[in-house]
Amino acid sequence: MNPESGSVQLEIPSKPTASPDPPAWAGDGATMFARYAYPPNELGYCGPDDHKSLLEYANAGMVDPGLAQLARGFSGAWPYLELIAHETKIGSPLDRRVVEAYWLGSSLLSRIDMTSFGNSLIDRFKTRVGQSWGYLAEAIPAGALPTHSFHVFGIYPWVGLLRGERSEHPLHVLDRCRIRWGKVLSVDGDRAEVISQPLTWDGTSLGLGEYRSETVTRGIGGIGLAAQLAPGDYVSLHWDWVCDRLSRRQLVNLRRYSMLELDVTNRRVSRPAAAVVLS
Amino acid sequence: MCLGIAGQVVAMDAAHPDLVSVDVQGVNRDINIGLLPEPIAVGDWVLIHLGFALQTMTPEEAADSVDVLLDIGPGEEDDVPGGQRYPWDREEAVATAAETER
Repeated sequence: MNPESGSVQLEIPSKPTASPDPPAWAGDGATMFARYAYPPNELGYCGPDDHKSLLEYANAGMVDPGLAQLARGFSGAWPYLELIAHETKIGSPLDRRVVEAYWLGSSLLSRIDMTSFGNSLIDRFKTRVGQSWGYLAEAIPAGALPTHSFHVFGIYPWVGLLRGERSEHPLHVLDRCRIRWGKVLSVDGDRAEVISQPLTWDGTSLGLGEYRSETVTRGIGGIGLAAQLAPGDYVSLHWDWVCDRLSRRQLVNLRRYSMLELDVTNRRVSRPAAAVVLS
Repeated sequence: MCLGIAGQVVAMDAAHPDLVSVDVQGVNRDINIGLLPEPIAVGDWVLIHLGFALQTMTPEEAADSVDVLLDIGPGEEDDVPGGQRYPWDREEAVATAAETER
């Protein structure tokens, strides 16, 4: 932290940090899925009503048919995993490469046919979103990719709600629902202090603010999602939880694909016609 | 439940006017109603997404919406033929959007 300005900085490490790539403790894709799916599941927002099992799976790194069944119950995420796996000819939606591409973003996404992505959205959402379909459909030629970030900013209604009187609520939801990145400052039991950039909204576009510290959850009674953390580690965050420790490649990808989705979102929001739909 | 889901208000929180308890498919949850334009009361139905009530619903609407996505636009459903596939061309997509928004 800069003692004069009070600001904190996070720089992408120029070389791999202490965590190798991929981390030896990362486990397979199903475990990775559980790490990222658990926080909203615990809150009752997504997936089957069995968050305790999900936490145990994520913590133990154990994989069995029960975990795969839980993952299929995430009706928001699962179709994206199926699409990515199908388009990249990877056998399982819970392959680690597929799961990582969905939650964090990766070069795997470049192999997904835009038309297939668009058709999957038609099948899933066209009859549900009504007039907003045109706005949604524009995202793909604008560069959107089938990631969690797209689902948050491109499918959910919260970007449209930013133009309301109480934009702090939609902004908060968007910020916590996206996958964020941060750097660990300290660890104290089930809590950790990290620095991260909050999502911002200036009335016309979304962006990332200055780094600031926040206290996040890394476990309940010693049972957490990520392996042991240490100050200096780079981590992914979902809602108020630390999901995983990030390698340099994962950190770069998460930032890159997050910024890409923000750019796509801002270009769509800035269109006058879109503003009418979203108002 | 990653999309919207209906819940019925079962209790208000006098200490926190923006919070109410709702029954969602037999499970009680606390949600924020700060985005609703009008006051609500016990017994009302609301559409919930990520911990917030986004709009009120009639009991009939609630019964029909087990898992729905909000139409954030103000109009009716578009009339693009159901068999049409994704317009992969950007200009075509923009034209479709403009037509839909008219």
